[in-house]
Amino acid sequence: MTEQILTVSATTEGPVTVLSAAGEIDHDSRQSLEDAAEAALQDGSRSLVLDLGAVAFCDSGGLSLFVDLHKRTTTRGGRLHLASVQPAVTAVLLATNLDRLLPVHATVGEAVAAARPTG
Amino acid sequence: MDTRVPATPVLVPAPGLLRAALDAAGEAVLLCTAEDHTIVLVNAAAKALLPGLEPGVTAARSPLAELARAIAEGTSTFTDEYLGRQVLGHRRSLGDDHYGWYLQDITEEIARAQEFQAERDRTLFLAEASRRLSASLHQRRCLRTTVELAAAHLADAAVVVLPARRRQSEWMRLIAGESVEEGMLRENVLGEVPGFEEALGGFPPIPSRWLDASQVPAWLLPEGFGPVGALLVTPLPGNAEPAGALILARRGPDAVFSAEDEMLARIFAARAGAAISAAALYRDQVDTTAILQADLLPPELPQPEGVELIGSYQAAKDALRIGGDFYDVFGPVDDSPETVVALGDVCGKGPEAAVLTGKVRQTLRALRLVNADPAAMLTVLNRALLGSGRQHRFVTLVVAAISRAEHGRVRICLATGGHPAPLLLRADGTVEPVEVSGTLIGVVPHISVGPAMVELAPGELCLMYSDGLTEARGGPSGTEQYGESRLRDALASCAGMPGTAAVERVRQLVSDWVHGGVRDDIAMLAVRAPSRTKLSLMDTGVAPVSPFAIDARRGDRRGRSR
Repeated sequence: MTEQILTVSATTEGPVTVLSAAGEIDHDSRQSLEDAAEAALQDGSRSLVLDLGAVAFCDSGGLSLFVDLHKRTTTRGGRLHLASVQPAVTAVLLATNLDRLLPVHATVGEAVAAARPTG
Repeated sequence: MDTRVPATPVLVPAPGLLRAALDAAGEAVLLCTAEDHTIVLVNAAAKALLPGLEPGVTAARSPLAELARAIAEGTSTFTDEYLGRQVLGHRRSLGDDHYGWYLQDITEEIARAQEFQAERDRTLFLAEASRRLSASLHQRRCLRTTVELAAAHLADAAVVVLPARRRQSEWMRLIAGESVEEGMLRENVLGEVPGFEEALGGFPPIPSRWLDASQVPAWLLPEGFGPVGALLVTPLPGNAEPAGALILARRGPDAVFSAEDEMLARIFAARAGAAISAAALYRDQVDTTAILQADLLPPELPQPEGVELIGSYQAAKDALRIGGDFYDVFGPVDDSPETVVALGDVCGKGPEAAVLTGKVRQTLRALRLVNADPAAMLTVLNRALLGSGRQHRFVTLVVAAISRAEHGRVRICLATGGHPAPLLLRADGTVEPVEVSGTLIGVVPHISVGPAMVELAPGELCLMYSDGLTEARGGPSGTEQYGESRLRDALASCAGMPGTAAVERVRQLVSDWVHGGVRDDIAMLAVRAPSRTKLSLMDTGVAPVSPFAIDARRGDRRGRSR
């Protein structure tokens, strides 16, 4: 019973922090991702990349966290990027049209490149 | 000069020497003859302890009744009280002709033991009070416990009076040995109890000796209680303001409340007050939740001519997790005969989600009155929610405008805001999603909504549902989601069924999947074009009523909120 529903690891490269999530993001589990994002923003990251390669499920609790992080990164001139989104999560993003709000990238590398400030 | 100690040792000391030795001893000694108990010697310590006791009289008629009794009964110890002192006596034989009563003043010792016992009793009482008072969040039970404890340990009568609500005060009273009584009092008579207004006003309690017990109004205690000797009014400290006041009374002319009694009453009152105010807060919270829940309950579904509407709402098991899913129905208005239904899911739980649900439903109701189409309803709702400021929550929903078409068909204009697409159950048993898309509501200033128009032939059904249905976890592993494909299969198996049966069947299949205990709300709303052929005389055209669907759920929910 000690198995975590969601585990999150963070790596920071300049103004971009990549948060790699594994598991399921829902109302009950989102806190760990929220805490990691909060820490990254506190430490001065402007943009966040969410690596969702190992996330099989995301409910409205997860979506509301994405929306929240989107608002917080944009107010500081950054952006929330999603990377390697799996089909189940893609379906949720499509159903809610959030794919139009949040940039979605095939790989973490592409997402980091897009998140890195140009020039 | 002969009284001086002789140079040679003697075997028998002189009587004077004996007396001097006994006077010098700390212990009080009465020397008596064995024959008739005549006191022959009272040493100095005994004179101090028992003034007035002289040699020459018999100890069997001494003013110490217990000493006389010990002699009469031949016992060798006694305790007695004499002129305010507690005396303990031991008898020791001194040869054949005499014996002595060796007496100790044990007044202080007894007082210390009594004090120790009293302290122990107080501690036990407070421990019992804490245990019993913390056992309930039910306010009347807390009041009852308070008067029971107070009447058992603190006074002959205990009355708890709560602060006035709507100019009336609730009270509960217990006379020791009788049964608890309760009632209501008019606020304006409470001031007749000495010290009461001060107690409820948050002032420190007035010492009992300053309260005139003869001023106690007749209504406070029953007639048979007798004259009140001592009165103590103690505030029950609550949350910011007193939770009430505890009135204690002792009967009889000599009754008093000592400083220790008052202190104990205050400590007890602090515990009772905390329990009563916690119970009051809890009651308020439950009331608030019940109010919010009552407003969130799905409405009775009307049965418009030529259309079947079937709803099902299964609330999450946890009654305090209010909010979440909802559906609503808005009837025809002057310039539009359509019936509009909405089914949605507010992100999150709790009062905040419940308030947002209320806002959404009211906004939709207003938009329906101005005859907005579903897509416009969503667009305006989105702007209204964003305009209402500081909320992080969003809502997904589907809105459908339903009207009758030719040949018993039903036309539905649908728009979604980030909600799972409704499913259509066709007459041939195929299940297909409605091709709609739309942004969730309450996040971005401009949403895109792609509405759709579908038509149902007689017997066909359109199912709107919340994601609690597809995300319900269960199955063989207990953690697998029900999922959309299972839902489609379930719905396909309902082909040809009446609407209520179809919805109930889907609900039952999901309930089986999760083994009964749903973690999230599950809402379903189905629109069906009634079958045209009336094959049975049983079909009297009365609106279909499901024995399982919404009415049963409604009862469930109300029952749990209390």
